[in-house]
Amino acid sequence: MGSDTENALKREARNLLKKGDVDLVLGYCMEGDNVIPCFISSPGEVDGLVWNNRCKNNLAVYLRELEGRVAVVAKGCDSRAIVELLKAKQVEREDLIILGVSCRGMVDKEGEEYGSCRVCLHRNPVVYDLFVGEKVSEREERDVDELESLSLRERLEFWSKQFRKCINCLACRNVCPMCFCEECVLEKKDPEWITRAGDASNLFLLHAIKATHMAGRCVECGECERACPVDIPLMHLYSRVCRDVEELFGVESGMNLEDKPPLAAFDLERDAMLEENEKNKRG
Amino acid sequence: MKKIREDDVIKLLNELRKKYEVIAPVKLDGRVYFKTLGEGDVLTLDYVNSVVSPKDFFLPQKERILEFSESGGEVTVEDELSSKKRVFFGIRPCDVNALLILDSVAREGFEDPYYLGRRDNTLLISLECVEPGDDCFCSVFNTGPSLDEGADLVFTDIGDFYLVKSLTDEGERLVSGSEFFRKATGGDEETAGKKRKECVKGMESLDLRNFSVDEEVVKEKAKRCLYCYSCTFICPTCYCFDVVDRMDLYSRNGERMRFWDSCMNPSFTEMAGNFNPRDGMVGRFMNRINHKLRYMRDRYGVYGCVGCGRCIRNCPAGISMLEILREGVRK
Repeated sequence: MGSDTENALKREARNLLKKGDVDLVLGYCMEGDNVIPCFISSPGEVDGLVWNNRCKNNLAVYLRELEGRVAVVAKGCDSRAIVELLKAKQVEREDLIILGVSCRGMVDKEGEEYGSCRVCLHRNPVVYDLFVGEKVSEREERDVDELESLSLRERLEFWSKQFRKCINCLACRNVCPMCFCEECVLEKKDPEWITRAGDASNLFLLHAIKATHMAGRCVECGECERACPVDIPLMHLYSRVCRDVEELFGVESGMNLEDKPPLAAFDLERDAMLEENEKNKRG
Repeated sequence: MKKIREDDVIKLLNELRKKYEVIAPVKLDGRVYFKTLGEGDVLTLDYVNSVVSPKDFFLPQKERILEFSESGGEVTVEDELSSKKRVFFGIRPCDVNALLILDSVAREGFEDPYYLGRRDNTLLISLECVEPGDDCFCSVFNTGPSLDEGADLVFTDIGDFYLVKSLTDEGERLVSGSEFFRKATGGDEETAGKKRKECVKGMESLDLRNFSVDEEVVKEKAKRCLYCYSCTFICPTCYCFDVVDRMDLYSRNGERMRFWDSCMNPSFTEMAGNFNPRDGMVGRFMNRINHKLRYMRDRYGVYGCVGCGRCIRNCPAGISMLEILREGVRK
């Protein structure tokens, strides 16, 4: 983590604010020993900006609520979330200035790299207006999915055990930059799709629904896992359904603004869509 | 004062399991949870605190509070009151203090028979802290690391032994009826005293006499809150719940369920016609902080926070209750 990147970031942020190009810079600051998301609205505050290996938050989650023109610091996963939000028309491209930064993987307080960062294949931002720092090399291949090698029964046991820990706080949904529905099926009361205060099977259903809703949309930032108080490895599920979407429709979430969201753009002529997305990839 | 050998603690709990349901700390996927001990469960004594607070055993995340049925025009209602005798081992002093706060809530106006039934039938064996966790700040509220009231027995780690202090008659009976306890010496008590002092030294000390909630600071923090609700779910003093009736297909038999709710959820204050008096995120965040640090103090004479640090540890946006306290004193 070079402080060169941090300084460059400060320089760009200061410029943008001074020129009045943006109303706000969304980045990271320190509070005590903690790195926290922060909202900077004047050049005088820019010195507080930091860039280090503790900047774990996916800042895209704040974009929908912010008003005015915003410059946002975006590492790989933040930028992928921005792409998905743009595809879903949740934010306006002209309201954003994306300050791309490359990430070497984020670590927790004890210095241990987060699970989502260990398996990350996109550490460089996929979309940006200004890039600061240096690009990093990407891992070429995904790790072998150990769960995949287990039998159906073993996997069922694994996830049942995980979901038994669930206290139904919905933090996984609430911190997800991709969860922006005005009304959520998981806590709709009339009709009540998921039984409130239900048994283990209801929790299983809740997580299964959440996972299918992440298909083709999860950007693998790992916020769900970090927010989960009882450490359910949720991103694993969401990544898994995204792999299926990749195979079926040729789309990896958050990679290309031109991609049609496979499960939103319903098309009976699936092959035609596949072809189009393949073309985009090549182009 | 008595003491018990560390190896004997598990023997004691196994002995108690013959008469009681025993709740104790166990490890699951590398983290510590309280759990009703069953065959094959391995007790752990090496922990700062549990992930989910002990309130789950008194005000469960979900519980059936009553059953009802209709037959021939007659409606019968049956309360689901708990009378199971339990021993809760390993509860930390901060969490004992949290239960004392929940007691005030459960006894105010209407009594909550479901919660109080569990409380009255549960013996608490508290384990004092001799080493603070990274996010602990019980010293600020004087809700730890030592404990002088609220539990039946208090254990303090003094090396190979735990010093045992009984605070109630029931605690005393438990000690005198068991072969695992032996007499403690003055030296043991001295060791315990030293350890408690050391533990306090490792924690924040704040003088709350001039404390008031700094609304500007809190509002600033509210901006980055993600409203994930997890702080309210793992908090040992958050008690808000929702209730739902569940009927069978013929609407004859049903059950009433109660489950945790969160003031961070916009639907928490939503009224008929979709009107929401506490609309907007900042308002919800402000309410949570004010509830803990102002309203509860006004109502029950104690702060609604016990400094267990769970919310700090878990907050995805890095919001710290301790920082809010510091700012409120600094002001």
